[in-house]
Amino acid sequence: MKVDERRCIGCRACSAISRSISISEDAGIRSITFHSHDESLTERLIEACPAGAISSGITAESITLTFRMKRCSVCGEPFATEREIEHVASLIPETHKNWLDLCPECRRAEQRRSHAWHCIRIRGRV
Amino acid sequence: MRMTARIPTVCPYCAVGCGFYITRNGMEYMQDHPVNEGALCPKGNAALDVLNHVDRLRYPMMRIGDDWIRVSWSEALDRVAEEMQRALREKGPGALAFLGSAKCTNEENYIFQKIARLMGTNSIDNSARRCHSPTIIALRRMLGTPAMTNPVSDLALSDCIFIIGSNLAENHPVVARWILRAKDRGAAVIVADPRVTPTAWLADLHLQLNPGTDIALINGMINVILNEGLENSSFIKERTSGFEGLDLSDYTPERVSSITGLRAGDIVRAARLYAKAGASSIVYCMGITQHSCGTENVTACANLALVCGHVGRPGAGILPLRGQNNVQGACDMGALADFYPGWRSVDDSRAIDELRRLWNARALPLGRGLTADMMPEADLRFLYVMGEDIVNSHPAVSRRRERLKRGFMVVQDIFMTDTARIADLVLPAAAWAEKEGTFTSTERRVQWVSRAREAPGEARPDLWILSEVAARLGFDLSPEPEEVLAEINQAVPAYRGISRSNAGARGGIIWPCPHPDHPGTPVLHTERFSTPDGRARISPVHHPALERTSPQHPLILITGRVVLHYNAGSMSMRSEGLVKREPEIRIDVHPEDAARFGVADGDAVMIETRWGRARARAKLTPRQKRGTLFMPFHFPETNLVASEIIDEKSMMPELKVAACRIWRAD
Amino acid sequence: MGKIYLDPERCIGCRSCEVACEREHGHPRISVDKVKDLAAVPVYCHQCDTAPCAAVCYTGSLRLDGDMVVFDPDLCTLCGLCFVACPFGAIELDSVIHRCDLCGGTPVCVMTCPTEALQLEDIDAITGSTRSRAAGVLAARVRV
Repeated sequence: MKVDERRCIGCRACSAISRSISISEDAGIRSITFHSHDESLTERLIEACPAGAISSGITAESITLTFRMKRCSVCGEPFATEREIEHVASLIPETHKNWLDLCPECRRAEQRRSHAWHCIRIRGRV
Repeated sequence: MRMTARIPTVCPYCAVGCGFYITRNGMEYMQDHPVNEGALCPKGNAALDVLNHVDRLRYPMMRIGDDWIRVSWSEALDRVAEEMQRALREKGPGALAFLGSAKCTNEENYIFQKIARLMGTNSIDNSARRCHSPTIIALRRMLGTPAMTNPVSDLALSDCIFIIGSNLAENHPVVARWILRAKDRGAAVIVADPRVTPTAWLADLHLQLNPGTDIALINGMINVILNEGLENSSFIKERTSGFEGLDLSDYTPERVSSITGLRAGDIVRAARLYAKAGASSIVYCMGITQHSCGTENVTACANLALVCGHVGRPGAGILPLRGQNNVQGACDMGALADFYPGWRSVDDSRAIDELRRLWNARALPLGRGLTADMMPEADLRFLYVMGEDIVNSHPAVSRRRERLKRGFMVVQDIFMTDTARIADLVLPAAAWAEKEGTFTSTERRVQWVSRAREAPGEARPDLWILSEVAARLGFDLSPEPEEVLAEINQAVPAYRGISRSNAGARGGIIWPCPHPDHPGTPVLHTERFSTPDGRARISPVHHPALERTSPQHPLILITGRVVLHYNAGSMSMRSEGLVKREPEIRIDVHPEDAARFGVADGDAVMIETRWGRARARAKLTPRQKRGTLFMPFHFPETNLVASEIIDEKSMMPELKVAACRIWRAD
Repeated sequence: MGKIYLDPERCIGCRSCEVACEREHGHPRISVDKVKDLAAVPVYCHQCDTAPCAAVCYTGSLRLDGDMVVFDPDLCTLCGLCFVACPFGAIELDSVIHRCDLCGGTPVCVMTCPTEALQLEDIDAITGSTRSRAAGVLAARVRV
């Protein structure tokens, strides 16, 4: 199989299918390494890739793709690659997408704050 | 072992008495239970974790040196009886002591205390000592019956609910359900607590008073009520005595404000809300009882209710929230150093004689026996502990645990608790769902629990163990719960009509139940109080001038509970789902106090009281009242620092107040 | 079918919903935390009408069906885009996706909530009951 590094968004799909594809994160960089490979999985990998980055063909050596991760604007933890975020942003219909800057944990915290703001105002005064 | 799909049971944790079903593989919610309506708190949801736990005791074990040797039941039971008889022979009944279980059934507690008394001692106690012993003393004296006057669900009918010294949202979550229903109807909720707790979140008025100033607050409220003519004069005249002795003119809002740290206007507001409402309830718990003036605190609460006539009607009552699933029952059964079954005082020889005849005994002991805190200091030769981790549940005992072992110590439990670890003999008991019998919840609701699972290994029901021990002592005491309940019918007047049939119905039956066809008595004191003259006794009490902080110990430590854990933790600390959500001890500190002592959020700190030191992780929160700290006592560290000052009337330790200091640990 | 509605005034932060959910599903799909120690709020899948998770799911594993979002694990590639796309952080991912599916009709969190903070209702019933409760409280206060 061949991987097109311009299309790949650094998601987790292919590494979940094949043991020859490994994924790791370190210091805000996600790395996906494509080792040489059991070609019988190529069909499934082509289907599973959301970005159409995988195609059939022979790649002799291992190749590692690296992706800068987006850091949460509140807590600073990396939670997704920047390309994953762009990909998601392009697909969702909403116009307000500020929450995409937050990691899921901080999105939950924000949701809690906004849901409880009225309670907090009242209880803070009591 | 029944193969029916689901077996009804009652939660083994707190005293709310929630029902649910145990199925072959798990649990199902019981939506038609009158108290919880299918709901459960996180501990109830994790209750089954206790049953198949890998740590369950499976075999009787005897200590030889530092090792545990497995022994047979017959060897173990013979040994218990031998040691008990030897201690009796060599030193007399004063050398024996028994610690009963607020988690075992009524039948088991009844038999346990019967054995103690037939052996000649009143040295039998249970964890109520550290919980509601002041309630027992004060409400018995004032109202006649030492128990909650209205059922929990009645709170939905109240127009004003005054919650003082209770964090029920964490410790009795299902009670909050009924308070919220009252709020849906427009009821006003007042919460008096030094801390901002999830219970305080529900308040319309939060009185964040200084720890230990409850009498001043309540007397201040009564002062306002009398000054504004809001008392219920006809109720006072017809149904109470002692009102003339109530002179609270000193407790002006201004004076009370300076004692409690509250705004005078808030004291007035609270008084008016409580007195003017159609039906008001007082709900209280450890913040009222766990003080050296605990008995006086309860008295003050009852005074307030009586002066306003808010007792004896739906929605109007005095509601002490009891702790353990069967602490009310253990007390009703007389597993107390100061009471026989049926609330007969140990000093009342005429009442005790009734039992003597029922039990066919030659004589029964009079006078208060050793309470739990007194046991380490006494010259005991034999101590029998049933279902109580006393080493972790009582600070005085915790600090002197080695002294418990001066004699022969038997521990009967479901886990190898820290108490079991120091015993000479450990007997494996069945857990609540592995045996049959009745449990009495905080609202006097008696519910039969049926066996839903097999006990592991050779663990046996406590009742069987006790009847085997009794047989070896020469007493013929039945191991069948229904037979014991039939004897309880004769020994405990309030339980006279209770049987498996009515206790086993959905929601059981609320005592008093004087005969089998009686529907039970959810609301007490509707026409008369259970005092000899039928009147409630108003008794003046005063704010005690207690020494609190000092330059060396400038802060006050408050101890208490959190929602995810239970008491000394023998059960909840073995539940992964609970432990991972609340894994370690923390100490809540107000940010200004933290700054004063150089402590940052998350720092390891040392805390010291005059009784000891402990280490915990600091959590800074503006919800903690300035000048106070909070530690949950589910972790052993808290016992190292908790107070040993005692309320002499009830022998309750002052667990809610201890002067302390903190510093960063290194 | 209704959705799970939360009344934040009733939540006491006991986390019973979490413990029950975890017991039933192995991994909780609801997450409770406090806000400023003055309130507590559980977070769970909103079954959004225009669900971003379904919009990014290119295999149709997560998709809209009536007023719910349904999940077919056989179609899931574990790409993790739904985890990134959920505005509420209500989806977690390890070896499988964890997301509330209302337990197939009778959510345990709703059944177990001690204070009825979580209710299963359709939107009209909820707004109706909220209005009538608020009116009742107002009327009671005016009377006093």
